[in-house]
Amino acid sequence: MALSEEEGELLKGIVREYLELLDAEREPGDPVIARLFPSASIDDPTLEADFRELAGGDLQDHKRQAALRVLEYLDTGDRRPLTDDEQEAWLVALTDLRLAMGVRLGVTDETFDAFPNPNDPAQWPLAVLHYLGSLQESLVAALDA
Amino acid sequence: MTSAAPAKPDTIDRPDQDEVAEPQLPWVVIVWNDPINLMSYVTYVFQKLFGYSRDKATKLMLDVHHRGRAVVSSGPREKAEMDVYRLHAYGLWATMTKDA
Repeated sequence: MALSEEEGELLKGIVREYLELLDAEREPGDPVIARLFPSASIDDPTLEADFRELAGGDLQDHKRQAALRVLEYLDTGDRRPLTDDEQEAWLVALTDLRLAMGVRLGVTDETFDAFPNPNDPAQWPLAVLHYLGSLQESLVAALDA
Repeated sequence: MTSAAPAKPDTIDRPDQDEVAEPQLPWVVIVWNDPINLMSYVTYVFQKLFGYSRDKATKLMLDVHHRGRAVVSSGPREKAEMDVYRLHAYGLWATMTKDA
């Protein structure tokens, strides 16, 4: 997959941060965790508790494995085409990275549509979010072809 | 004294409606709109997870986008739980509820 050295370094940093977040002690009410691991029910806490017990560990592991696959690929420095399994891992990881960033940034439909000004450092995180989105868009297009 | 008429039962033997109906009530899985996931990606996930055609997947994605949510699958509780799990694994915001 075509990535410049700078892109590779940027992605490595983001993925590592995300892995730390996944393994960190969870603070109750953290909106990022709430978005990555949403409740299975909007109004039934028992159903949600059952679901969490059944699936919570697997879900966390699934997300961690996807991010680790991406990191593994980035660490080799070899930019060969992704295998099918790797493409899936990238899709999952890019989604989770974007969700985590987007929630942190408080992205809404309106702010998301406003293209970030590259000269304003405060908007760089939003630019990174768009960059991750463009990577994902090209992966989906490749899978769809 | 006996009666020729058959004895009338005190109660009609009718199955408890709630008990019978409950296992047949399907569960529905709902995907909710979020401002972050890409439309193309959401369409891809619906095709991939449920085997929907691109047209059907696109229609569902647009329902989520414009109406805020859409029912994407239904079935017994175990299937709904599995579908919610798979949608969460792909980063979509999904919940399940008993179809009313």
